Parts: sequence; structure tokens; C-alpha cells
Amino acid sequence: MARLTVNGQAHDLAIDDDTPLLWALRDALGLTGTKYGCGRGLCGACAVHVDGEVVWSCTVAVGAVAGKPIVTIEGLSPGGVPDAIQQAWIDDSVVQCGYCHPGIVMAVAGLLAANPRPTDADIAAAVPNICRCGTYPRIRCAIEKLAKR
Amino acid sequence: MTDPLATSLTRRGLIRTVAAGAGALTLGFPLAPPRAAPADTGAAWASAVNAWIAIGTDGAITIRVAQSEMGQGVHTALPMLIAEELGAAWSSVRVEMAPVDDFYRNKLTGDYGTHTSSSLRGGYDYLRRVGAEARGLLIAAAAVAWDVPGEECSAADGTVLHRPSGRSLAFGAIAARALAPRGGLSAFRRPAASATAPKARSDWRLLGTPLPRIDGPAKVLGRAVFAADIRLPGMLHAAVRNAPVIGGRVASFDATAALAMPGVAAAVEVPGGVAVVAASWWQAKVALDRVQISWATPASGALDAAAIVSALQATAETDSGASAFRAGDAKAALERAHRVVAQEYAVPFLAHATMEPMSCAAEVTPEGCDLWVGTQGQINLRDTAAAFTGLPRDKVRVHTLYLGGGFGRRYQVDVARQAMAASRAVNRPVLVLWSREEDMGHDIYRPAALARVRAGLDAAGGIVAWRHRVVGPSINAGENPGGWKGGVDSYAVEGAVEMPYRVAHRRVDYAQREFGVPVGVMRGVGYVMNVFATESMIDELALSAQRDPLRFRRDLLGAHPRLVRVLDEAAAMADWTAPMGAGRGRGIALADAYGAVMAAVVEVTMRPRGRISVDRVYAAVECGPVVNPAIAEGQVEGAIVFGLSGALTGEIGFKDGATVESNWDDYRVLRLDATPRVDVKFLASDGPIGGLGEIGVIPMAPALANAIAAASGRRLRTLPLSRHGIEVE
Ligand code: FES
Ligand code: FES
Repeated sequence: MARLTVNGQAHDLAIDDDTPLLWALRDALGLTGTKYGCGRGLCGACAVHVDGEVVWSCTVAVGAVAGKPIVTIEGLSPGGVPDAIQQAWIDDSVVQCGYCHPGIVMAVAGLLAANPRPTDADIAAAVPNICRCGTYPRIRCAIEKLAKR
Repeated sequence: MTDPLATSLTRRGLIRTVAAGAGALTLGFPLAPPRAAPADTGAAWASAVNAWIAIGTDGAITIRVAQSEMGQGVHTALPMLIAEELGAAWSSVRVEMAPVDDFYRNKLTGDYGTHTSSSLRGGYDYLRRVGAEARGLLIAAAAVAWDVPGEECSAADGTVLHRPSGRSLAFGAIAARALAPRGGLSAFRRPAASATAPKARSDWRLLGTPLPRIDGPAKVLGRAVFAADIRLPGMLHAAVRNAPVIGGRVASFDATAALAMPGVAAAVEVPGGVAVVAASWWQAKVALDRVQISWATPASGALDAAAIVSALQATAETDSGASAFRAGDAKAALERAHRVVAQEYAVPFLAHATMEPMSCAAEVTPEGCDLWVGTQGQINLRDTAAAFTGLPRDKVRVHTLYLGGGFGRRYQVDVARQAMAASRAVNRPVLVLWSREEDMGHDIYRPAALARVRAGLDAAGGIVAWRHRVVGPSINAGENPGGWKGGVDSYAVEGAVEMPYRVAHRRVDYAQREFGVPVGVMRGVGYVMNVFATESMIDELALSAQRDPLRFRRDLLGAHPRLVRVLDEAAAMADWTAPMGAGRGRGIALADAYGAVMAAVVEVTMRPRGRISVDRVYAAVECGPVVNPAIAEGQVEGAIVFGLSGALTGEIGFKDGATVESNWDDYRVLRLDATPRVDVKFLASDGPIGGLGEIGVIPMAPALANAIAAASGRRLRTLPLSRHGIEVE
């Protein structure tokens, strides 16, 4: 049994404490916006925020985050209204297949919350996520535009 | 715009009204699409209109697409073609996948499938015509309602306008009138042909503009449904273990311990391995690790990277192969040549490594088979499923979801077979999702290949003869007879055969060499390997003749003005003649494939200890009309990253018959930190439309290798570059 607070809502889940947070979100809570890309902390497709920090959810067990505030991609846009980052992504057609982008948007949200004027190096460090479609140039460009606002 | 794959799998309630007779306006999708591709008659076009477009009384316009969305933007670009000609307001456009039916086969490939950079090439003329015919029907309907000549009316922004009187009628209102019993629109005539001619480019409002992608909102909000995300009533999740050694199979397995674990419903043999089916994927995965499987392993299990290269070399030595192309007499001309330069280039097996691992949900019952899947080949999948289940084809329903990357991998049907087998075994819908390790270890790989190129030079360094022998596994042999003729695999030699440089005596051969590794198409297919060889070799010849690689190429491209144009443009973008500092260099390479041409310039800086940085990429592309510049640019940028990534670190090796690489730590791909700045320019063109999904991959490995040669004098002829100690930073 694990108690998770996700996007402002508390849930008691009948799952093992050592279940990775990723699978609790996807299978127990039906929050499929958070993606599986490697299961080993190598790609960032599963990024969420825990206590305001970017965390790759395949690498933490639910037992370790019980009670902490967790935000997923679905929680970034209450009511389905895109936040500023999501809107910038939409406007510039940043996504391609889009499978990596929930994780990347969460990474960028974490970055810009802490550092609204990131340098190139800050961006590279904060977005180690893999995008096999190669949307990195558009990601970089969209972040730079957001930082200029 | 709304996104059907994001929200609901059921078809929206669309108006279905079929006015009687030829040329009638119909305002909803027919229950079944027309049986044949339209002949050029009013009735045929009216039914084609009907098969692609539905107009609701609320003005909502639903446009069907028959190509899968895997990132290349076709769910935006194809509807733009219809919407432009129709005169639709873009905000009223919705998109839905067309049913899997012969009617919807791509006009270029003849397939209901998404590959070969064919979506726009097959759809550009045809779908604009469909839109224009629909516009003609709407105008005719409004003209009848007003009792005015159709020539006095035009359509734009979802409204038909009667220009002399200023009266207007919204498309939705026309739809409503057509629906009314004995409505005023039942007897109008099909408009004159002039009213259904596609617009002049100067009249375009949507085409050529960077409209935001239709799938953008769902994808950034986390609402897009990929097959891995499908949730069906009563559905169970399956994790799969495939035979670790290629060609292996299950001898027996003991799932006692797994079956005792929470949530586990069953452990079943599926084609290629064992699936554990459970209430959640994680439970299935944990339990799978407890299944004791004994594998029957084929005897020829030994296979490793070094063995692959030497086997290819041995074949190149002993097997002259089959002729793929001959012009003049290359053999004699090589003997006569002043000097002969011979080089060997090699590329490894590659995994597609789509971001979403292989995934498919199936529900198989005695009555039918439903598949929820991101597929690049709907008809191929449907027919496979019919054969696999023994059901008639019309009882197989393929529900196409978003593809979390395709790159050719999702044309394959291996995972769908497993999902069907698992569903049949447990009598429930089952979603199979492969772990990353299964995905990487059980790909249908881009084949390794070796190229031997021999160029004969005259005393002035001009090329008089060229022999290019390709050795490697065949994708087509046994699988696709259309691509296998006289011992030549068409994929294996593409790009080598069409080598653009002027050489009087030229010959291309192919020798097949198999390793028992399953191989398939991957983005750019044979061009990626063959253009690496030709564009590296031409660069080597230029440098050994102490010629500028740009001018050297130009001088041999007289017959190819499109290539000269992109070459010049890319060079201008990169300021080709500007000096670079020590340890820095530029490389250039060309590609001509899928109806598009591209030149790329790569700039690199050599750093200590074998490290390099890839600083800039400049790309000039000519692909005829650009439907959506933002999406087009994204495609080329992404393909550039994909091509660089493969060239730098991409490699699948084998040890004892199993894949060495298993996840992103050992199958390394480019990340944002090492991605160069990329400038892409599309050259204005009145030429035919070209495909953009793959072209950008092709010139990247040679442009990069050429840049390294220019910067360091080191010529690297074997990919990936990481094999030579080169690491990108
Ligand atoms: S799935 Fe968590 S880092 Fe890749
Ligand atoms: S958009 Fe496809 S993996 Fe990033």
C-alpha cells in the first residue's frame, strides 16, 4: 500500500512499495502522459516533479516518495490549458513523434522555474533527455524564446 | 483543430447523407469507401470527396488521412492540402484515420502504409484535387440555393461567397440545407471543370505557411495516445522475453513461481518468446524474471562485430556479385587508367531504437480481431493478422494510434503477432509492451554493409572509371520479390546506382552476405550506407588531386542543375571559402533521394584526446513546394541529428549470437548537449514535390567524415566514428 499525492490529489494505492513511481502513475493512476523509454534512468521520458525537483520516475520507488507532492505532465496544465512552455512548443511545432516531449517539457519546466535566463550550457545540462526524432534544435530555440520574454 | 487520436477512439457522430445520383453533394463519409480509385468522372470524384471529407452542420470539417503520424507531420500537412483547396477555415478542421481499405492506398506506393517518404509525394496532387472537387460541389450547392451562376461564387474561410451580391453561406449551413427533407440542394449540378482546378500557388492561404502541428497540443499535454498508452475495458498487460540468441526458440518453460505472484494472470508462449500477462505491466515484468525458460539455440550462434567485417571483406574478395548498373566498360577503363584509387567503407548493423519501445494491443475473439497499434503498414498488418488468426480480412480491424517513432521499424508485425497470441490465450484484450532491452535486442536491424570503390583517374586527376561493389545482407531477398532481381537487392544498391558524378565507365555490383540477423528498412535505407561511400570517395579524390571538394563536385555535376544549386547554396550558407582556424574543418556532401535533393556542410573542431565538437550544420534542400515550412524544417533538422547520431556512435554488435547493446548506455545516441546549431534552407522551386522524411539522414555521415578529414587529415572509412576513438562533446 502506498499513499501518493499526484497533481494535488491524494491516492491510496494497493501496490508494492518498491513499484517504480513511473508504473504507479501509468498503470495504477492511468496517467499515461509520463512515458517509459528505458526503465533505467537513461532517457528522461519518465520525468516528473517531486517536491518541485525534476525526477526520472522509473528510478524511484513509490515508497520513497510517499506523501511528497508529485506533479506529472497532466498536472502542468490543469483543465487542459497549455502552460507557457507547452504553448511555446505548440506554436513552434517542436514535437515530432512526441513520445519524449512530456519528459522534456517537465525538464524544461524545472529548469525555467529555477533559472529563467539559462545559458546554452544550462540548457544542455538541464535537458539530458533523449529525443530520437532529433527535435533538439527546436527545443533549444523554444527555450531561448521563452527565456527572452 | 481537434485531435482524434488524443481523445476518443470512437468515430464522432458524423452526418451521413447521401444525395442520390452522380455529382451529388454528399456530406458525410460513406459506410464503405468507393470500390475503385476514382476515374476522372464527376461521379467518381464526388465519391472520392465523400471518402475523404465530411462537413458537419456545425461547420466542423473532418478530413481523413491514410498515413500514420510518427512525427513527420502528415496529420497536419495532408489535411492542409485538402483544406486549402476546399477553402476551409483551418480552425474547423479535424483529422481522423481513414479505415483500412484498398481505396485509401497511397497513389505513389500503392500501399496503405507510411514509408519511402511517400505521404506527400503520393498525396500532393490527388488530395488537392479532392479538396478542389469538394469546393466545386459546395459552390454549386450554394449557387443553386441562390439561383445564381456558380462562376459568380467563391469559397474561402469555410464560407461560400456570391461576389456580386455579397451574400454568403457557411459550409455548415450548406450541409444543413442538404440535410433538410426536400431541401433546396437536391438537384444541383456538378460545377464546370474550371471550378475544380487546383489553385495557383499565388492564391494559397494555408499551404506554405508554418501552421502549428495538429498533434502538438495533445503531445505536449500528455494526452496523445500511443499504443503503449491504450487502456481498454478488461485489458491485461504483457511483458515479453524473446529468445536471447537470434533464431532461438522456446524449448520449454516453467512459470510456477511467476504465476504465484500478485496480479499475474498467465504465462504463455508467443511467437519468438514467452509473455507474462498481468494486471499491470510492472507486475508482468517482475514476474517474467521468475519464469524459467530453456531455449533451443541454433548451432550457428557465434557472431561478433569483428567477424562480421572480415566476413564482408572475404565476400568482397571472392564474390564479384551481380550487376546492378553498367555504363561503358569500367573494367577496361580501370586497366587503362593513369592511376587507380581503391577504398573500402563499412557501416555496422543499427537498431531503430524508437523512443517508444515496440507495443501493440490486441483483442482476438472467434468473431474478430482488433489491433490498437502504431503501424507503418496497415494492409500488411491486416493481412498478417488474418493469416495468423484464420479470420477473414474484413474481420480484422486495425486502429492506428500515434507512433512513438517509426523509422521503418513499425512496418514489422512481430509484436502484433505476440499480442494476438497472448490475447487468444487469455481471452482478453492484451497490451504487449517490450522493455527497452527487448526492443534493442530484437530489432529487425539496418543491415551492415561494406563498399569497395575503385576509381580510375587520368593524368589530370579526372575520374574515368568507377566500380562500386556493395556487400551485405539483403532486406528484400525472400521477403519482397519486387525488390530482388537477378541477385540484386534494390535497397542494397540505392544511391550507388544513381551516383550523380559524371564518369564515362561505371559499374555497380552487389554480393549478398547473410549473417542470420533479421534485417529491415531504416530511415534512408540503402542510401545511408552507399552515399557514405560515394561522398567520402569523391572527397578523397578531390583532396588527392588537391582540388577544392566543392569545385571538384561541381565540375562533375553538369547534368544535375538541382544538385549544383543546393551545393552552391549550402556552401554560401557556410561561407565555404572563409578560412578556418587550426584544428577546424568543413565537410560537404550531397544527397538525391525520394524526389528531394540536399547538400549539407558540417563544421567540426578537433579537440584533445580524440574528442571533437560538431559546431554547425548548414543544409540546403530543394523538394519542390514546401507544404508547411515549420514541419519541413523540423523533419530535416531531426534527420540531421539522426544521421549524425548514427555516424558518431550507432552500432549494434553481436556476441555469441546475441545483441551486445541493450539500452541507451551502450547504444549511445546524440543528446542536446552535443547537437550542433543547424541551419536549414529550402530553395524556392516549381519542381515536383519531394519526400522529406529521410533525405536529411543521408549526407550526414559523409559530410562529417569529410569535415574530420579536412580538420585533421584523418580519413575515417568505417562507422561509427566512436570505433576510431572519436568522441563528440
Ligand atoms: S524511462 Fe525513466 S529515464 Fe528512461
Ligand atoms: S519527438 Fe520523437 S523522440 Fe522526441
